[in-house]
Amino acid sequence: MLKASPAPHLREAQRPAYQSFGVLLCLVPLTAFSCLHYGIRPLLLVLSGVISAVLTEFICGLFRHGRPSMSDATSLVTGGLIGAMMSPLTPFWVPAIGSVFAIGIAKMPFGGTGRNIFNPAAAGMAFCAVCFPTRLFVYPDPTLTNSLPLLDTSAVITAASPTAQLNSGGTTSYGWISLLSGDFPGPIGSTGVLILLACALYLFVRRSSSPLILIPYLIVCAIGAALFPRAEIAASTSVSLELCTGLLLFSGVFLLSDPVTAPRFWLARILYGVIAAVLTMLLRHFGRFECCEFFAVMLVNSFSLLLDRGCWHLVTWLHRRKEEVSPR
Amino acid sequence: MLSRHGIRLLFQKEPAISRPTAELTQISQVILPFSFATEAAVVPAVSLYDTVNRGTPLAVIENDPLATVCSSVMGAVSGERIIQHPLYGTLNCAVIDCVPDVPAPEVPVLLPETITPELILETAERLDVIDELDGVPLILKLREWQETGCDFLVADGIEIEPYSSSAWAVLRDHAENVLEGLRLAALCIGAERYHIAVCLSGHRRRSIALRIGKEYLYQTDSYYPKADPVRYGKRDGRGTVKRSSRVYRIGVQACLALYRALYLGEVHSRCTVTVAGDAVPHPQNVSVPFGTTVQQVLEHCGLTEPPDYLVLGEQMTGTAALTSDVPILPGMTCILAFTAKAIRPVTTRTCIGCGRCVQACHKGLLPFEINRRYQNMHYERLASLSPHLCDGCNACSYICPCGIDLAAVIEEAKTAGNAISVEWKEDTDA
Repeated sequence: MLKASPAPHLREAQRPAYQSFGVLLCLVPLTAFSCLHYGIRPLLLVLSGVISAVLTEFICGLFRHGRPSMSDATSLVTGGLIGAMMSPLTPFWVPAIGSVFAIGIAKMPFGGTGRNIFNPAAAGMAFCAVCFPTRLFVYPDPTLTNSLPLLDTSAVITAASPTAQLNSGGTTSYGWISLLSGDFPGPIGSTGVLILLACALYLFVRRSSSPLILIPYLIVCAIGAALFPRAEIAASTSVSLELCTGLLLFSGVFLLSDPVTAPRFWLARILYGVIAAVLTMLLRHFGRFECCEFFAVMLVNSFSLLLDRGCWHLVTWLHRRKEEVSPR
Repeated sequence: MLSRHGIRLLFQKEPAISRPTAELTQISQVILPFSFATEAAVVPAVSLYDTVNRGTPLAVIENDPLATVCSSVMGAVSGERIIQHPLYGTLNCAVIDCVPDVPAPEVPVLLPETITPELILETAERLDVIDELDGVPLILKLREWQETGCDFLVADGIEIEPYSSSAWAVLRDHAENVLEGLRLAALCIGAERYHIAVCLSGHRRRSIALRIGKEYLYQTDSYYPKADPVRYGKRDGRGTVKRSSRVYRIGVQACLALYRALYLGEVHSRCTVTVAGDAVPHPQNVSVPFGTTVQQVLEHCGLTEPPDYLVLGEQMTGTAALTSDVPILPGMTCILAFTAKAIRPVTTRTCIGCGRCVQACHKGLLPFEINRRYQNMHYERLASLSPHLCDGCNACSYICPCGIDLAAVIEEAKTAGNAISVEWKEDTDA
């Protein structure tokens, strides 16, 4: 007995989890790099975020359909990203609370994967930054610390991050070499600059993320840093410090390129990157927190759909006009 | 409108393309429709037990003489049947029992210098040459292109979909004759330039280029679909096809049929089809007379048990058939048979908004947004997204990681804009 099937009769074997696993794979070397400096604590922080996110999605799924499905693995990514944006000194319950907020407030009430307006990881981080700023932006000195204690971190020698130094208008002593080798205080996933760049390249090759967002974002940030340095330093130093420190590169690679909340149309993607960069630099100059990239991501997320529609209509209109002027 | 590259499909043309084309000659029976015309008055020109030759018209149609179908074999009419064809709908068909047909020796009936555009048109009409790209009589196309004018005529031997390789097989076996047929068609419509567009691997392309000259062969990119005519000849070595150029396509089998009709006086009665898919034990290209049933061809390729899925046409755009007792008619170039293991039921998930459909759409549409508005019943806002521009290539459905049949949604969205929308007003009667 022959059966009916609609065209296309065979489909690409890719599943939604394909993109999530790409990001998770990128988090492994970033966390490992941090573990080299600070021991096992960064790994436990990331795991804390992941476990909390998965549990929250499971419970929310039970409430929604009675049959939770986590086959797209996006909760793992959200939890992992939140964990990777924490300071190695953050208590374990902070990423857990951030993940609960991200999944329980920013994602599931909107309808789950694919329907959330704001990036859940950015929302979770914004929540933690507002509620626990003193626990989020205190970093251990990587040159003096071998392995961080798991529970009592009060005796750990801390250091001001380059972003905090720039925020206070002071000068910093970090050069290109120390920035590229990750020898500066900062969040777990953001100090391995070369690894982050490799991750970006890997995600581009996998088509999990678009260079049309990241490249304009970095270019505009660099221009902003060169034109308006936050301290009395050379333009090139300002560019290197702004791009390599804080969560600027990390949010460009992972948060801005999130396929759910980013625009899909090519022109919208370019504009999205540009707007995100402008907001990031404005928040860095005038914002209260030293890491404010997740606020910029959330702000630009709200323009995503408008950018998609507006740019598509604009480009379509331009093409129609062009065809009217020179008919085939 | 916007033009994009589309998607890359994984070619599955082996082993069919590496095997020689089989000539199916010993056929017991063919089923041929009296006509493809649905509305014109069809008067059968043959009755039961009449003997027919190759090229004998099966019906007389007053309003539309081009809709007449000619017999593809020598034999006797043994009955009449109404069949439901998956591609052509309801057809009133003649069943013809074949007698062994001794092919006539190939003797040229015309010399190249005596051929004129009028003669080409007359021959294409008289010997029923049909373009396999869409099953339309070639004469209709040639007349239209003569009127509109043509800058560039392209023989389409690309075969961009995964399984089909019939055009490649025809080019491998008859590249010189295809080129001559193309030259004749170009002469007929006054096209200054012409070439054969292909998407072949290195050694296959080189072997054909050695025979016909590389200036007549154009290698396209391997993106699906190939809808924009400009992509059929951007760098042909003899100038560039501009966006404003009038580029027209013709099938390689139609070129070959035109060559044979003019030089050998042969009626267009055969086509080459690719038989492939995981259920076929011996995939290959088979040359069959029109009207041969799909069942006969599948049996020739070693299929003894019926497959789970039978597709007439290609993987991306073909139509599933619920019976193999349907004839192969002009316009069919591929038959696919699959097991249930190959075609797994797709689990549809909610759109994750990954945007891959936007990158895949060669028309530059926003399939995810059309889907969203359609699901939310915002029918009045669908028209602004231009779903009517969709040509049904199914690239978005193929690429969607959530298994959403976006092409079907867009097809429905084309007409959903006309759905009744109720405007809620205050009840003034209360």
